[in-house]
Formats: sequence, C-alpha cells, structure tokens
Amino acid sequence: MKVLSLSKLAEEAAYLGTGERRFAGGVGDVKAFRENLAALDSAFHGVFCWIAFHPSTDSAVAAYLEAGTLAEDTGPNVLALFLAAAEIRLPRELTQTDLQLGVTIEGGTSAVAELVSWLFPGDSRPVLPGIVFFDRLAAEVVNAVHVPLTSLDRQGVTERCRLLFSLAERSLATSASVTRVDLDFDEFCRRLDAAGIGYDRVGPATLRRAGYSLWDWVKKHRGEIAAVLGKALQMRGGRG
Amino acid sequence: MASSVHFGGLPISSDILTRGLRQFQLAGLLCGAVGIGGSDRRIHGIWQHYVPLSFALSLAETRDPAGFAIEDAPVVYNPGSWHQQALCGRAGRDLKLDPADLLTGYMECWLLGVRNEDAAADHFVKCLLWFFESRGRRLDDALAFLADLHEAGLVVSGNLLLAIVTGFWAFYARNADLSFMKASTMADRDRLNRELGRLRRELHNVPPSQPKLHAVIDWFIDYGLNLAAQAKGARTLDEWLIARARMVAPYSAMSQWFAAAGELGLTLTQRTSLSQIDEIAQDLVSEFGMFRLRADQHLPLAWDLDLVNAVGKEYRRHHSREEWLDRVVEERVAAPEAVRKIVMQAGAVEPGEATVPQEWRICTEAVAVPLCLVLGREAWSFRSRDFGAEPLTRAAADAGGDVPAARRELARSETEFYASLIALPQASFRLDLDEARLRYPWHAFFSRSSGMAKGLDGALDAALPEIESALLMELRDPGNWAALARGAELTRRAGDSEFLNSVAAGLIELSGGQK
Repeated sequence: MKVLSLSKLAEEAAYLGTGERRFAGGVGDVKAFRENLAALDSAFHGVFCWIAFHPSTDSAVAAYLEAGTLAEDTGPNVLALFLAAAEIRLPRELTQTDLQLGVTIEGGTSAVAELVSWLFPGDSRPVLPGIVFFDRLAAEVVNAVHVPLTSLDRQGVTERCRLLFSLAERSLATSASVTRVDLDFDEFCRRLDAAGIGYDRVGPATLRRAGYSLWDWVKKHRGEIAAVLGKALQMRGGRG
Repeated sequence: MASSVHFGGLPISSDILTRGLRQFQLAGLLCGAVGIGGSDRRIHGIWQHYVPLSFALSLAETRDPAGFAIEDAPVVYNPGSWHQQALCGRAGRDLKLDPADLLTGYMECWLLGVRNEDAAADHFVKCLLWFFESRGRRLDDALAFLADLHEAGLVVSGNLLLAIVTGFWAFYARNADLSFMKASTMADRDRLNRELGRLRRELHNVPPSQPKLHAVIDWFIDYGLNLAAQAKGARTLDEWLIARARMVAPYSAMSQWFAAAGELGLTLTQRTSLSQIDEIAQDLVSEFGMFRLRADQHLPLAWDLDLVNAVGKEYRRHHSREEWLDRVVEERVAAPEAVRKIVMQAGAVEPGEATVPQEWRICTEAVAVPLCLVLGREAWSFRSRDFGAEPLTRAAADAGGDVPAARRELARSETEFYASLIALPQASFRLDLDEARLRYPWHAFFSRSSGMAKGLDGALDAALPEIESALLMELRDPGNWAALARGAELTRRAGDSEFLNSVAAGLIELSGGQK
C-alpha cells in the first residue's frame, strides 16, 4: 500500500491545479501549506477519513493498515489519513516503522485523541480506535462522523472498515445540496443506522458554536500526517 | 535481474565473462540514458569493443558445452541468428542460448532501434504479446519481462520504450483476441505478422478500456517508485549510476503520460505520483546530460553532486540548512542515502558546499567503460581531476584555443610520460604507478601494471582485482587476458589459466598475429 505525506500530496494537488509548485514543508510556509490544502480540498472528489488509533494499544487496526488492503478498500472517493512516524515525501510502501512512534504524547494526550476531542466536543467523547469521516481539510469542517472500531480483532476491523467504505461510497451525493463535498452525511448516517452500526456525529451547528478548527491540528502535525494512495482516487479538473 | 555466465569449475573465467556481459548490457542501457540519437557509429564502436567478449564466450561454450550457460539474460529473437522455438524469453530459465545469438541479438536490436524506431517497436511488441499470451495472459509478468529487457540494455532509447508500451496496450487495452499466438513458434512468424497486422487494422476504431490502460500505468508507477527506492539505497557510485540509468526511459515514458493526464482520465493518485516522477525525469535528463557536457569538454567524468547542488538551491530557499539535503534526497532522489549521511557527518552545509570522497566521485570501469563508449570517448584518457590552469592555458594556446583538444593532448602526453616511468627499472616506479592510477582511473596499462607489481610483492589477493579491472577496461588487449591467466596460474587455477591464455592466443590470431 503506497503512502505519501499529506503535505506533499497537497503540494502536488496545488501543482496539478495551477502549474505552480509551492514548497510548504518549511517552518515559515504555513500559508503555502494552507493554500495547498485548499487545492487538495477542491481537487479531491470525495470524503476524507481519519484512521484514529494508537499503534501500541490498537494492534488490530495497525495490523489492518500493515496488511495493505486499505488502499483498495477505500475506493475512488475516500482519502484515508493517519499519523505516521516520519514525513514521506515520495510515494512508497507503508512499513511497520511508519506506524511506530506515530503518536506524539503531550501531557498524556495523544495527538489522535486530541483530534477526536476537537472534532467531537462535549462530555461523551468518542472512544478510540475509530474512523472519522469528515468533509474538509483546509476550511472549517462542516460534517464529521466517528465510527468506533473497538473490541474488534484484525478480521473484524477489516470487515467493519470495508463495510463503512462501501456505505460511504453508496452515500455519495450526486449534487452539492447538502454540503460542498460529495458525501451525503445524512444518507450515510441512515445507512449506518440500518446496518446497526453505532456512531457519533457532529454537524455545522455544533462545530461552529464550538469554534473548533481541524486546520489548527493539521498545521501542528502536518509533517506526520500520511495519506493512503488508493489507486482509484478520483479528482476534479486539473491540468493535463 | 542480473545476467551471469557459468563456465563449469572455472570461477575466475566465469566472473570475468559475467562482468564483461553486464558491462556490454549496460552500454545498451546507457545509450538510452545518455542518448545517442540515430548514431550507427556509436553502436558499431560499442560492438567493436566487445568482439573479444563474444569470442571468449563462444570459445568457452565450444570447449565445454555441458558446463557452459548464460543465465537470466532476457532476450527477444533476432531474425539473423536464432535457433530457438520461442520468440523471446530469459536465458537459462526459458532458453539455452548460444552466446553468438545473444550478443548478435543485442547488436541487431540496437541498430534497428536507432535506424527505425517504429520497426523496432513492432518487433518488441510482437515478442511481448507472444510472451503475454503464451505465459498465462498475466499483465504483471509481461510488463516485468519488458522491464527486464530494458534493464538488460536491449531497449536503446526512452522513446522506444514508450513506443513499445503504447504498441502493447493498443492490443491489450482493446481486449484483442491473441489466442492465435498461444501455441505459435518461430516457424509461425510470417503468420503472426499477418495476423497482428490484420488485428491492428480491425482494432483501430475500438476504444481502449480505461481500467486496462490504468493498470499498465499503475504498474509503471510502482516500477518507477521501486527504481527510485533502489537508487536511494545505492551503496556505491556504480550502483547509483546503474539505478539512475534504469530510471531514465520509464520516467521519460511516464512524463508523457503525465502530460496527457486529462486525456487518459488519470486518478488523483496517478497524477500525484506522475507529477513527482515528471520532476525527477527532468533531473535525470540533466544528470546524464552533465556527463555528456563533461565528455564534450573532456573534463573529468566525475559525479560531483551537480544535481544536488542545483536542486538544493531551490530547496534551501524554503528549508533550513539542516533540512534541505534531506528533502533533496527524500523527494527528488538526487543522491543516495549513503551520500546524504557522508555529507551530513561534517555538519549542515549550504548547497554548493557539499563534497564527497573519491570513491563517490569516480565510478569503476564497470560503468565508466560503457559510459565512455556511449559518449564516443576513450575511457583511458579521462583524468579524475582537471589539469591546473597554467598547463591548460598553455596547451589551449597550442591547440588554437580548443580547450577540450588541449585536455586530450595533455592526457596523452602525461599518460605516455607515466608509462615510460613505469617501464624504468627503478625503485620509485611504484610511487609513479600509484599516482598514475589515481589520476587515470580507467587506464588499463596502469591498472595491469599495478596488479602485476602487487603480484610481484606476493599480494595476490590485491593483484587479481587490479588485473581483472585492466581486462574490463580493455578487452581487446591480449596482454590483459594473458596477465589474468598468469594471475590465475599463481592462485592455482590451472583450468582458468589455460582458458584465459587460449583467449589471448585466439585474439592474437584474430588480429593477424599482432600482440
């Protein structure tokens, strides 16, 4: 399964759109990074998902990533992200090392837990491991759904993830009426309900009121965020 | 896949023939990397250099048909000289190849490739389709075979590789019924040509299947990224240059696909990967172009981090002094990891300040000799460092301002001077020899003399590699074969010694008795 740092993927997405390569890895290049992410937001034709897990305690999820089928499972419209140990600047196969030290422990709170608590404010914080589906990277997140992957062995994680990606694929909106991205979150949640899968959801009202920003988190961890290069990932427009 | 020669019970001969064969194959690969245009002359020059190798391989096979084998040499048939049923395959695994068939096949492929690219592409496509159809219709296997042909130096240019892939997918992506190829052999060649011609006409208006086109592109992206990983992991300059030479043609083909991304309906992943590959493809052109430029000026053919420094300047504008080199290595693959570590051991540097030790500046004869043949130059005449300004200015004035000619003339007179010193029976000659070896790393006489001097001192382990290097620098000199025969004799390899001496004697006979 090929992976690439989100920062590099975004840089390439911006280049595909404009023909201009904006280096964004340097300390002072936050603006370029945000512009690149915006380019990725608009180039990518689908929904983002975050594989939220702790590699040392959530071994079933780590094993699923290592097995390498995620790139095929996500299909053409889901871009999967996770935290890696180091920046990956040229697409390459995921290794076990990439998943080690992939979590920055700060005051006992992992970066992944921090992300989930930002996205899902309130008392009943979603438990990890899980998958978070969300709609934006550079701009404010409007919709997010967290589905837990707790109490599952590797086979269970694989089956659950495949089902979730399949449900997401079937919930893609053909128009932009619900949000500016293509996943119809209402439809997705209806399908989750029908399948008897528990989830947590936040919508625009909650996120706006809380003033949370995924951007702040992404900016902070931009060197460690890796994207799974699913072979079928679709894009809109672009040069060439 | 690395080709090898097995010559029963003769390790020294097997090793030298293997290394000679790999050098010959590398010449083909470098034709594509450096670019020779439509030059028949270069191809003939390469062939002339390796006639003794062809002679030695044939002699080995004649002497011990049962104990001789060429292994893992991918090959397509050559109409002039081919004694197999199969149209193509891998020597050893699929075919028991006559060395003459193998080497003549290279020569024919190279000449066809430079004279008539379309005809060459048709030939490869026919063989590739036959391979695909007769080996279970597995795309991965067929493309891996094409990659083997390319890496073994049979595909003489990047344009030819692209034409072969385009020709292959014209059938593959249109779901062509190729069942008529399945049980066919060389005896059916005319029928295969007719059937393929008919199919090509029939398929002309059939739209290609996009998933099948994408499958081919995905395979090449994976292959290209694996080649980049191999280059990054190179442990020596030879490994680096060979890995980079392997990247040139596929990266050039992928650049073309990137330019046609919209038309091909490429996915975000494909475009992202190809976008980076396109950038690296441009780096590869400039890296090998630098060798051409240096050869034109008769400057040392050294790998002096030119690309790292050039690319590094752009990266340094955005990254810290500690970071830029990591980026240049990680995402542009402009140098191997080993070099990054060497450079950084001395602390953070600015682009232009980075230097590497001699073993990372100057490749061995394994790469230098085929590189010089492709560049149309003589390897022996290249220095490891340029001449000083003063002698060069004087020589340039004598050469009417022609600086490259001045360098050549200075090299000629300096090597003659060293050769005369080495011939003198005085104690200091070994100092001169060491200096001569350092200055002229690919001069066969200096290398052989150095080996013989070590042999005289009883250091046979150090002597043999030098004599082997000398032979691989100049295969046409019977004296180099005879020197290795003597080395083999001293290491009690009587069979090797006898064979190598017979090659030397045969070469003398072939040249009309001139030693």
